[in-house]
Amino acid sequence: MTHSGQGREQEDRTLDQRRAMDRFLSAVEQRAFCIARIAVRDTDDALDIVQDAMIRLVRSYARRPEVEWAPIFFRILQNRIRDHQRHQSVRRRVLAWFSRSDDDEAIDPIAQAPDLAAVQPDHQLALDDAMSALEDAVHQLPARQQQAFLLRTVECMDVASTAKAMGCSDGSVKTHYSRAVRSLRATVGVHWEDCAGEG
Amino acid sequence: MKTDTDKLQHADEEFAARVGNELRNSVDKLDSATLSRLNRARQTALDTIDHPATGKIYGNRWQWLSVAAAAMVAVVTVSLWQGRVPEPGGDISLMADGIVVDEAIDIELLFADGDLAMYEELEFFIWLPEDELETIG
Repeated sequence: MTHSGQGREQEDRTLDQRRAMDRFLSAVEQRAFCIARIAVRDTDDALDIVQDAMIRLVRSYARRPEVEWAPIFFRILQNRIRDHQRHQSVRRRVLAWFSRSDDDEAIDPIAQAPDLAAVQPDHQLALDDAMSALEDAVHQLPARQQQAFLLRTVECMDVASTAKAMGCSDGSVKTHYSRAVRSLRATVGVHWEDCAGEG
Repeated sequence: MKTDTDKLQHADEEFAARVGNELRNSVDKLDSATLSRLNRARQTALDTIDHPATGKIYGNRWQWLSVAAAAMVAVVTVSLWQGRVPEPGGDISLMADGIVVDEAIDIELLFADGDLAMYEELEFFIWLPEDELETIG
């Protein structure tokens, strides 16, 4: 085969790979964003996380068989979410430490003002937006339960794929998922049945 | 006949199915700005497929950096070393008696693992020649 023929074949292969990856990412990007947004509760951060997961998948795993892409992609996504949550956790601790030392000097009137956007337990049942309440509740779940719940319900992954994406056993997935559902029912079950169940 | 556990499990499944359905529906309601940003993110990621060696570029860059750093250290070491040696035609006696001898002593001191007690009595050793000069004078 000539040198130009080999080059052409390589170009064709890359183009096919690009198309296949484009199809895959188009199919999962919105659900991935939804999962990331619920996990980090910030649209910009969620978009950054999804983009980063996409880039890492394309760079490192584009040559792997297509059937492996989904568990790999969601594993990368979960790792990025976890990294983000760790950073946020450290940041919160540092800010809390500084704000505690500031408290000795002066009282910030803005910090003392009531948070009108905060959801009070009394008003929770009256909220129109059942989805928002649900997302809050999912966000509050322990990380592994949250992962299992979102991958199983939003991404509709089966237990085996979820286990691959989470890097744990099938049994662990079932346990985390079951606890997540039980916990969510206890938290927003009544509210959800009242508000969303009617729809 | 259904046990309590079965009923609970059924209720859980029903709740999860409903919630999952609503969450998936919410994905379809993403605003156009978010969809556009997701599209741009995807295109950015796909652009890297044409450059699968991006990671290698970083690797090569680091390799070149380490080679350059090693070369720079070598050049600095050699230039410092040579900078202390007089040019040809200079004062040979200085080189023979002064710098080279001093350097040999420095290096010997540097690598010697001898008794450090001398440094504890450093003031005495500094005073000693002055005292000897006074005695001679």
